Amino acid sequence: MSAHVLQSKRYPLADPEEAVEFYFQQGWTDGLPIVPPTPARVERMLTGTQRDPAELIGLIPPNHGKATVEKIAINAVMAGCLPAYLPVVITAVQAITEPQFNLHGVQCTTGPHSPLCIINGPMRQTLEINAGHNVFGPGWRANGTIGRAVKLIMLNLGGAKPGEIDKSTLGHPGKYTFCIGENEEESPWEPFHVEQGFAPEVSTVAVFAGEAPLSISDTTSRSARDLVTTMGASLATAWNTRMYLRGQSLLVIGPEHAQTIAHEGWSKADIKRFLYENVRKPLRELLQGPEWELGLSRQTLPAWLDSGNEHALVPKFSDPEELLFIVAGGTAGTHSACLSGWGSGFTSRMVIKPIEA
Amino acid sequence: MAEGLRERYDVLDPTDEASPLEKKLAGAVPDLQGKVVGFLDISKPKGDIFLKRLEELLTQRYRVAEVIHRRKPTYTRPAPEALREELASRCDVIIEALAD
Amino acid sequence: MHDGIAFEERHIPTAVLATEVFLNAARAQAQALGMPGFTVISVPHPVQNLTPEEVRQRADSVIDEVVHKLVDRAPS
Repeated sequence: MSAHVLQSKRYPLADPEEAVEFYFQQGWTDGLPIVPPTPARVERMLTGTQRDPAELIGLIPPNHGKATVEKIAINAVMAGCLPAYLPVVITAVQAITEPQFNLHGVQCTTGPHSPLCIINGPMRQTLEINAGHNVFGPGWRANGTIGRAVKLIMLNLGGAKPGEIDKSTLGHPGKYTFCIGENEEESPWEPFHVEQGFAPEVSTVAVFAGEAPLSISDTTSRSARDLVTTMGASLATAWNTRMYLRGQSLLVIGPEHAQTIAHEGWSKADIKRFLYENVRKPLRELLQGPEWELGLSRQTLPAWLDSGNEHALVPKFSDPEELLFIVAGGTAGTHSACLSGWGSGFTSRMVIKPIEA
Repeated sequence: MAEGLRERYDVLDPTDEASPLEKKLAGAVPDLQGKVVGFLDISKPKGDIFLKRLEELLTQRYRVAEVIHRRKPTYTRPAPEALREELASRCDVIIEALAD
Repeated sequence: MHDGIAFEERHIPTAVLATEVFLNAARAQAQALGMPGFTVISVPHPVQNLTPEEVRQRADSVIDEVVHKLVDRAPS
């Protein structure tokens, strides 16, 4: 790679301790200490990509800050990333700046949602990205720092400071870091990225504006039907229990649960179809009325639904394909989880991108 | 201390740096006689003693009209807006101390 | 530094005092906040373990500089 002069402004401080405090004072951290991005560290981080450091990857709303490869590298150093992780962070930035992800909305909402990065493909092994036990928890540098780099970029380049532009009422811990691998090895079905049209040997990042995971523990169901019914009952609470005809939710199926379902030959399509057809409520419970102003109005119901029939069953999800799922987590334990996405319909949509060096 | 004698540890800016043009300092006051001085104590130990002594000197030697003492709730964050507003509206000059 | 610069933006001359260990960070912050001309008056470090009389002496040693900062806007 040719010599590159770093373009970013420099602050001459005295030592690392002073630097750590400086970044806190400037509001450039997530509330945890960062790794000071010295020129040497940033140069080393840039060896992880073949891209030109001046290349613009995307503009981060709401301030439309320019996420150049150099700026991404600075935030990746701060997060504690290794240079090999940089292509994953760059790809995540490409993904969240796609219009259909609606990052502006996600940054400024009062809702808790925040981008979850899901990694597929061989990079999970080469970078040691955890897809197994404790997948949403701590312990793996790649998971922790890649997820954190994405959040720091949203903060420092987007300008969405908590309490100011970021008006999330409650937030959730995934706003510190939210990055997992799919456990393709333990999945009885095709990997998520293959389902989305990528070759298995391609590595990808999918981003999904998710709430905190809602745990679904079921130790007793022995049949696919019973187990998926349990999952449906939790999915029915996405956003809240009275919001129907919703957009995307993510179901994270633990390997033991996946085995139970697949043992009876259920495919992903079968699961989606079952959930779409069975997680439903009668129209009369969901309509606007004196008891509930926020209910569905007859004008906004889909054409296929008999809006004159109070007993017509309204599906929780507007289409079976609104349900996304992956297999993740450890091989011991009868737990899965679901995460509601942000908004309905076109509000924020999952985006998946291949990782390139 | 001369610049060359000190170790330098340079760090880089993680933001877009689309900051506004360099901001100008406020204009000087011609003198302190008859002026209202605001003291913003940043709530570090010994800061109150330090500011009290500055007040004595300003009152005796420079004949300021009034000194208003205010304390930040914590030194770890900027002063609350209401406190800034109050000092800005009542004072001709402000002294903030003592960071360490 | 945020407070001092905020007051200066409201056209109120402000003198901020800090011990010398704070100077680097203060300079960097002023730069980052867009007012590189805003400098801090330095007091020898440390202060926290001084007697009250010694603290008063520190104040005596900088009063002229404080006044110049407000009246002449002399850089520190």
